[in-house]
Amino acid sequence: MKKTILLSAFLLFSLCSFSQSVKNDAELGNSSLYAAYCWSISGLAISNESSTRIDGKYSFRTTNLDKESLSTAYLKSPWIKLQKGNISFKAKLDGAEGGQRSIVVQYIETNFKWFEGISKIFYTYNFTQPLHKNTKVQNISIPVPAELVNGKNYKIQISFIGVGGSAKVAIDNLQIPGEYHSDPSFFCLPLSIEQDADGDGVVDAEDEFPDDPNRAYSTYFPGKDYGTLMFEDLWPGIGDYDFNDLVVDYQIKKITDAKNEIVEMIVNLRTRAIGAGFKNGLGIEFTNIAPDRILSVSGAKISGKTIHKFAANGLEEGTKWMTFIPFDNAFNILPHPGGGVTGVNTDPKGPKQEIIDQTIIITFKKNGKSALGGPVKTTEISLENFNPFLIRNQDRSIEIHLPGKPPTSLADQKLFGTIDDDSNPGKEKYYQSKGTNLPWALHINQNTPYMIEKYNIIKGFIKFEEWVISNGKAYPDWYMDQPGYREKTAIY
Amino acid sequence: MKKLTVWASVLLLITICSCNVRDEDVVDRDPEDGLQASSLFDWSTTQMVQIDITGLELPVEISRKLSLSTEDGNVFYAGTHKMNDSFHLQVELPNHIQSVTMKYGAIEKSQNLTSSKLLFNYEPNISEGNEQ
Repeated sequence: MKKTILLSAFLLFSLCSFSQSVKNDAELGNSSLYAAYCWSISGLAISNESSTRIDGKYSFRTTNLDKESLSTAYLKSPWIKLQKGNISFKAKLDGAEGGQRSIVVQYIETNFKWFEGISKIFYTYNFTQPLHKNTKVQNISIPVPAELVNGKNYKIQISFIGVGGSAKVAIDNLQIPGEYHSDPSFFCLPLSIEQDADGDGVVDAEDEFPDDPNRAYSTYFPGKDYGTLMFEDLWPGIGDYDFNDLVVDYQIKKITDAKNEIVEMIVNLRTRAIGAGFKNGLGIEFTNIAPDRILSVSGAKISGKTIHKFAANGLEEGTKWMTFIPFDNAFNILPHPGGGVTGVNTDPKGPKQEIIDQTIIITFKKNGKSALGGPVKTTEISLENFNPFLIRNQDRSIEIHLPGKPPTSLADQKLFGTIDDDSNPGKEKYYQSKGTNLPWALHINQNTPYMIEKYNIIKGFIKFEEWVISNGKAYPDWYMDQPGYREKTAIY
Repeated sequence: MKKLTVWASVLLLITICSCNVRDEDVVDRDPEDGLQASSLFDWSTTQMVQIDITGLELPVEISRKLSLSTEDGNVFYAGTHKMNDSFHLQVELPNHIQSVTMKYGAIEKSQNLTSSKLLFNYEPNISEGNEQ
């Protein structure tokens, strides 16, 4: 009975005490990959030559050896917390003539800054003479020095030295008892515990909100700068194509947490121009995001007697996908300055109205908790499902979207195909004109000036026409301020 | 005299009734001067880019910030990722953007947008010398 208990205890101990080892058998076949794993290789090739292959498809082999330097040809391990046991490897010569060949094994300590410090040789193997025709595989096994089994980090370097002749040395199946302890993402330094003040799993150096466990990163679209939306508002009829009936700059900032889920979305808007008499509103849908995944919306400018209905979370009610209304009447954002002009900021002769920044905050998570519909991953909201639209003259059923973008569920689709419109939901064609496929709205990914009242867009952006005719191949950057791209007398 | 008065009145009337030329009448009203687009043209000022990052199988778990940015410094993606996980992202970038930079810890790699697909990995760029 006692023997059975002892045997069981022994087996249990054997199972529980795991011996780890760090191995290198050259089978990755690629120096770059080994470097990614924090191995250092110098003066060695990863070869499948038969004269130097020991095991598998590949072995390491030296190139020319003509020095007794330890730093010319070597294989150096990542940082390892060494364990008791034997460092083992196989080595052989290729049988060519050579004067003298040796393998030197040393350990390297860390210095106080976690880089390589002092090194010390603890083993040397000399190939027996003569080297010529000596191709026997040597199985080399070296005990890990006891003083190195202390919880500290070490590297093991196996150097190849020799003078005379052309004999190459090969090595394979290196095993070092111990735990891999390098950080391949950070200069292959020893793994270390970095400061994470808010405990969200994102180290402070990478956390934009190091003291807030519910926020970690922020990203922007369309880019570092504002983008510009330009609308014509006579849809489904064609207008004058100055694309300044409503001009709004926008920038969207997503704040995410360590789980890559959106906490807040900050929509910055600048309504720059109203080139029309209509009291147009602006809506923004993010297609495929259900409304119940949003906690709240704030910052919208809504009239007292609005045409819109809003849900408790501030989104527009009755839409299939999340839709918010930054403003229901652009003149409440950019008031008409008077002076006898039709619009606002579209006639250079008229008074210039100051542009006010507007910020809409959409909350997805609060104190780490999402809305009933679940969290939204950062990859779920992007330019791809960004769907802004103009709401024409206080008629909620009339929406004007970017070409190819679908209407919301509150739009009157009976208008599709009427007057100049060629929308066809069955073909996923939206908001383009009959025969000419022209749009009623444009999205430009950076802040862009707009046309003076009644000046056709072609007159101001000289490369616009070629861009269209070439199907986007010529002058895809037509909107930029490059030489020969703009006629500034036509631009506000 | 009466005839003169009548003609003068008519002339005056014509003068009064003839509309002043307004700026808006001078400018061409034709929508984009006969411009016609292909039905396949999407009017987009952005380009769809697919970014693939190959993970690195490691004996340790490394998890840190992965960021992707354009040459003008805009960080269009940031998230926490394990180094041994591969990652795929489809993103619309402005037409004028020419390169994307990936950062993961001290690893930083850039690629030019010569095609709509960018491949990244965590392997360092090392010089020739350890050839097979």
